[in-house]
Amino acid sequence: MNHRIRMHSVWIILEDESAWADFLISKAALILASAVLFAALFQLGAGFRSLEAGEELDAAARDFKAAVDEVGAGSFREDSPDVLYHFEEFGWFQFSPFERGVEAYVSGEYFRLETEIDGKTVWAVKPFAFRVLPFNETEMRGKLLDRFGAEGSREDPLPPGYSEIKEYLSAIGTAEKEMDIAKDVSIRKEFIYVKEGEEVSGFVCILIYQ
Amino acid sequence: MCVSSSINDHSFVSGELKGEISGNVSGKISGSISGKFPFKHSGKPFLRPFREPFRIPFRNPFSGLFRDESGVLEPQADLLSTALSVIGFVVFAVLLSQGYLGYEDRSFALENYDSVSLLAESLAGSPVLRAENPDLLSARVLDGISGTGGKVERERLFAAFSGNYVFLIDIRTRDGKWEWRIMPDDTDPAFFLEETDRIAASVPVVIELNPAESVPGTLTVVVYQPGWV
Repeated sequence: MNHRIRMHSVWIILEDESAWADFLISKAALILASAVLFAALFQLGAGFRSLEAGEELDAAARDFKAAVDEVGAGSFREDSPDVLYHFEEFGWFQFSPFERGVEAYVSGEYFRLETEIDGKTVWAVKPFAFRVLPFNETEMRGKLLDRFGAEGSREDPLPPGYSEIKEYLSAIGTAEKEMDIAKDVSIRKEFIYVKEGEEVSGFVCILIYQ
Repeated sequence: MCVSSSINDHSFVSGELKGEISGNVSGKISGSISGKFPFKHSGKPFLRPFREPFRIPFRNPFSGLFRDESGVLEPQADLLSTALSVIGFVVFAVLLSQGYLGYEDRSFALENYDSVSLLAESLAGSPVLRAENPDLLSARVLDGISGTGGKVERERLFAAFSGNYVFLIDIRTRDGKWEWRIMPDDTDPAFFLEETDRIAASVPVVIELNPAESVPGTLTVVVYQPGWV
């Protein structure tokens, strides 16, 4: 009797197609949702990887900016040594996830690091707080001599007119200069003197060059 | 009279029967059913003892797929759990992104605060704001540089800074009796009144009001959010 009932149940299961609807709807939805979920997870992971690499680049740029600003702040004190900056001491650039080498650019307004992560170009830009020129002292004095007829040294001060001098310095500092991160970078302060009547006063410019 | 019967928990058969059913309905049915049946059947007695297999001969192969509602709850349970896991993931992603954005904001503010703090420290030590005594800010010099006649001094002071940070310098005594405000001449004064984001850093200073009196105070640098932020 029991055997007969069991056979009957099996027969009913084989006969009944009503579960197909359940299978088609729920399993298809489950597969679709799983695919979307996994895609989102992988996308999130990839996003974090590029974010992390961008943060590393940002930290390197911030460190350079801090070094420049520190020299600028030191110019108001008497004891401000010039700095020889080494990019290589990070060690990030050799073992980094960047697809191509990190390129560094400096202008009178900002410092920029550029590289490529996952096929996308990534920048880290940091503005300087103090007045910066991407030249060495000879270049800077030569440009001032060409423009104002004076070098801007204590012995040969620039003619009065701070506004004009500031505008000119901003204009010549806008062009970017590429830097070799394998080499040391000199960061040093230099005074530009201006004649104010009988008095001569100066302000500080930070020179960045290799 | 309308009779309906659910057989084997799957097939639902209904129809109109004319006649009478006698006997105990909840128990064994005796007698026979007569009358008009709305559909064809094999001629066998319509109601059988429940334990025997029952087969409806006119049933279509996939009729259960569309007519049976008994499985409606099951796929919804699956979908519900899937939807819950997706919602959980979305909430997780949103929380993660919110946390990252908060970190970005804080690190940006902190980084700028470092720069502003550096500016404040530099200016507090600037020889432009001092007179004979190298450790004290001179009220006389501050009067001159913040007044209308101090344009050259202001230009000289701000010449050392790049135009990336637009800032003003506020110096005041601790008792609030004296206050000096130095603003760059190449920036419209209305800019400093606008409701823009600003970051400020203060350093303690000592202000020499006259050769006989020096009072404590603060030098505050307020950086206004410029275009590059």
